[in-house]
Amino acid sequence: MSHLNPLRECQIEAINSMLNLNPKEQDASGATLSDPVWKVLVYDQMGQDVISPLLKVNQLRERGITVHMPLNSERQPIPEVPAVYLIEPTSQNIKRVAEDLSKQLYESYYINFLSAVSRPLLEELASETIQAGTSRLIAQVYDQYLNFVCLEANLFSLNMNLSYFQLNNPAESEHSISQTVDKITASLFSVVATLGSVPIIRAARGHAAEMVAQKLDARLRDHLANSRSNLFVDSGNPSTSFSRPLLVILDRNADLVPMLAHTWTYAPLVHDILEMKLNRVTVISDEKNGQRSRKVYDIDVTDFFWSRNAGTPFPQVAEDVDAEINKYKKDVDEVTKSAGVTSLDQIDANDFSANAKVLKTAINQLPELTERKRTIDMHMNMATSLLNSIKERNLDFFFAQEETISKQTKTSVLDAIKSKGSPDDKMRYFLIWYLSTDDQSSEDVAELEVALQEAGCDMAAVKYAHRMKAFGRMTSASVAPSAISSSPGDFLGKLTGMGSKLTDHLKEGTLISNFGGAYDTIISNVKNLLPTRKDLPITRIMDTLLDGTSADNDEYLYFDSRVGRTRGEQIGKGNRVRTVFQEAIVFVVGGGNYLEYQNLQEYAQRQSQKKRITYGSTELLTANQFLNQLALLGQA
Amino acid sequence: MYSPALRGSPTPSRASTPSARAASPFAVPQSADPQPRPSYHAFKDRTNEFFTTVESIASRSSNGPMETHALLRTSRNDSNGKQQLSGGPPNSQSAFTREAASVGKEINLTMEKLSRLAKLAKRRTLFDDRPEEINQLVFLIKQDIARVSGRISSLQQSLNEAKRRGPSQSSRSPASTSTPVPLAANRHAADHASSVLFSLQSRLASTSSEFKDVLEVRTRNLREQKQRRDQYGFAGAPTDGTAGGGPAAPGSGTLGGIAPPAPSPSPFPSVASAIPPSSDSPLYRSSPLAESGLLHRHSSASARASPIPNGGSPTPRDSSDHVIDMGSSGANAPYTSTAYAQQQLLAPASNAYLDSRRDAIDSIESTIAELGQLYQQFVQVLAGQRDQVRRIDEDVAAAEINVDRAGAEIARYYQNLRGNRMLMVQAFLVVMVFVLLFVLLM
Repeated sequence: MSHLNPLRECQIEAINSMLNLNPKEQDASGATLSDPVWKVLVYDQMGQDVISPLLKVNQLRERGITVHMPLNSERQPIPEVPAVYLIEPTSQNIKRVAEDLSKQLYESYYINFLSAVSRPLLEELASETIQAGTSRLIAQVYDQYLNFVCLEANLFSLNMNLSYFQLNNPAESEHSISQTVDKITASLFSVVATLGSVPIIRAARGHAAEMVAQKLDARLRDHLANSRSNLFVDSGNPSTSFSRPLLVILDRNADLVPMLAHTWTYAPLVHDILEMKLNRVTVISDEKNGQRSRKVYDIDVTDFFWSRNAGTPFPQVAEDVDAEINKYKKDVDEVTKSAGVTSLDQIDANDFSANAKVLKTAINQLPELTERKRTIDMHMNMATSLLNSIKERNLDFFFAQEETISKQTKTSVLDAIKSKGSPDDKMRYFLIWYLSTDDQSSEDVAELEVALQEAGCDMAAVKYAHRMKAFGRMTSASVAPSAISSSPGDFLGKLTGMGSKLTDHLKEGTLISNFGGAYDTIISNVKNLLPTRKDLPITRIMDTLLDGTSADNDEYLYFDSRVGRTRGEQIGKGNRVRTVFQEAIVFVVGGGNYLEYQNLQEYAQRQSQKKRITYGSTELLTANQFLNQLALLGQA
Repeated sequence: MYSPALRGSPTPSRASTPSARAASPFAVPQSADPQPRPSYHAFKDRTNEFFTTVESIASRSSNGPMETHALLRTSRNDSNGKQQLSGGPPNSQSAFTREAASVGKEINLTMEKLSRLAKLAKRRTLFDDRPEEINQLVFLIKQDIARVSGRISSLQQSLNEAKRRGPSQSSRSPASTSTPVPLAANRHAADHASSVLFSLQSRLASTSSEFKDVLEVRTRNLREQKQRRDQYGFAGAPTDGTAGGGPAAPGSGTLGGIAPPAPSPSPFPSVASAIPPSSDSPLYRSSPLAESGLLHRHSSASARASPIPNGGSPTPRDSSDHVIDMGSSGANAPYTSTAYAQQQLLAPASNAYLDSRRDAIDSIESTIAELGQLYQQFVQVLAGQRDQVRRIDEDVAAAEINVDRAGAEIARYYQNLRGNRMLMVQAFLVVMVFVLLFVLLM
């Protein structure tokens, strides 16, 4: 049990079994050759979000799903077919299901709730169906613990909305905050249950992260103490902690900078600029004569190009796209050459079988080639679109500036604000500078703010940043002079003279938009702009926490749900598990992004002992979305 | 009361819970009992909990719904026997569902046979080949596939017909809904049916392509086996009498050592057919040819049957003459051996021709088969394109809902408008009446 499967695989497995009508363990083995049952899948919004990044329609078909429909659409009866529901346990959904039952839309009903359905709701379902006399049509009621959206092998999101705003808004009522926290806890519990292992929880002190950690701990304790069917895999004594993962719950306030930063690697760029949502990207390209074409791409996270390039800097991605295109062309040529006949001389009348064989291999290769072509085309278009945006918004400049943020002075920031670029980008740049450096005089800041206002920025976010910073100064002085508050400055400042050289270089070179054959020029212009390997604060926190043997990480709360019943109390230092963890889950309360995910994955790869770090957040936010939340907070 | 065993398997326990629960109206607090300590797993079966809740609520809500409760219980017990598939009014499944299920079952059976065949075909042993079993399986699978594809196409036809006819088919609409749902209008049901068909088709396609693969493996193995046998046996040793025609060629070469190796070996072919048996085993090769010659004389009569087209002249006499020739030469041992060596050398020359003919035919045959497969793959590739990249959250459904809503809005607006129009007409009439009155009064 030392190696858990990646979260994504676990979730796909769970959904498979659900679509298989939750077979019992023993007959799961022979399920492959059992007679096919054709089913209908009905889901609500959350169910749709969960499934759609995992399984495509043809994969659903393979699993016997013939028709799939949202719960709230108008559905027509399909008699004699069992229906699989994947819905959130809400009163509204249950009413709708009862309605379906009374209309006799389907033959039997397999109801799967995304999280544990509460007793009252179950009773509601029961009484609703009794009234209509239809309860016998329900074949199964299951809790699935799937209410999180798994986007990549080690990345998940809770798909919440405005979570940072809600948790940090002073005007928000206690009740609604605790509701949000409950929801987060339920989802995190699902993640842990899906992984099948009780983690050791570490959480940042104070604020939402602590609340989530406490509630999760309580829930895990309840479960371990009471449940009969405890099926966490490693149920046993707490000493078998080698296999146990570490769950680190952090608060977004620990480090806002990565949320705002301009990025230069592929996946974060795609997410930030093309606004990838649920692994889906919409590319709007300006075609000839100004006509806009809108294309939607699904990024298959197992696609060879994506998995290879998600973490590479953009210029290299461009290079790789080019290489892939050439390789593809070569392969196609080869196939046509071997299969096609260019002259009559090549036809050997006695060699039919050889000809046919060649043709056959060509045909066999064809699907693979078309698939590759599709993938390359997709990335090609995305890269082109990225390049256009980079050029348009001057993103390379901002990125280079932010790489060396602590070296920037007021004047350089002022220059940046006055140069070309969108107001949002400037605002991001300013906020990063403001949050990462310590010794700005208030006059400087005021001057910059005026400049920002002239550039047409919404100043609400700045207001919030002021508040944040004041608060942070207060707390960092009193409570924890930790790495968190002071870190961004020093780690970002590691770059030295390289930055200025780069920016010069960039100013000279113009990016060329035509991707067709002009890679070399682009690359020569942009090549040097590689992000230095640096760990984000979250990664560095993980670094200290993963190494459980070093004792000086007491600023993080420690929960071990397996040990004792001392709820809410800190476990004595003697009882702590001291080990180097191989598996970890990082959960950021209040939004995360691909930059941090990439950074963590890179860190995990780098380790001499292979580690797996799963990254999750309440929502995955692009920088602009996060900026909006900050602005909302500023107005509040 | 609420034992873990009950949680274990839903179907049997569901049959037992009603009786147990119906007896005790106190089930409520007890069934509520497990709730505060929920048990978690990646998934948790709450079916029993649900049904106990149903029971408890039904029994709690006094005498009123008692009938329904009883009804519920009986029907559930009923349905339990029939695997709860058709408990209520829609008792008989429609022909389509039944047919589709049985076709699916048949495909599965075929798959099983296929896997058995694959196991047999992959064996490379020379001795334990079991050709009858393989042939039988091949035959059976061929039949199965043909039958299944026939059934699928008839299903397709009936579906198309139903689509065209639209309503009528009473079995397709549940008896409980007041109006029969016209299939043409019921897009979802039609979708379901067509994708069932699609999945059947694709499974059949994959089965048959697998079948082809297995056959290919089998052919290759056979070829290899033959080669191996040829290596150890005499070149072109026939394995059975009928195959003698082709490989018999060396026979004519054998005589070529004595007779001029003319391209037209017309006088001798009959003997040729007689020779092969001698080469059946390597042992014969070393045996004195005279003896084999004698043997030939006897066997030639029986081997006569093997058809050599140009053998108008061949008679038993002929052959025996030559055999005697050979026999005489056979007495002269060294000569025989050299002659034999020559024969061996010469054999491939004419042998090659016939071999190549046969190979050509073989290859043409396999080419045709392969081309057939190509076509099939094309079809599959085309079919596969359909759903390759769709995701369930294609905004299609959402858009459709929006369109529907928009339609409803427009309808409402139209109603509004019509109301207005009526109002306008009315107002106009009123005005006109007044004007008329006014005019008249004036």
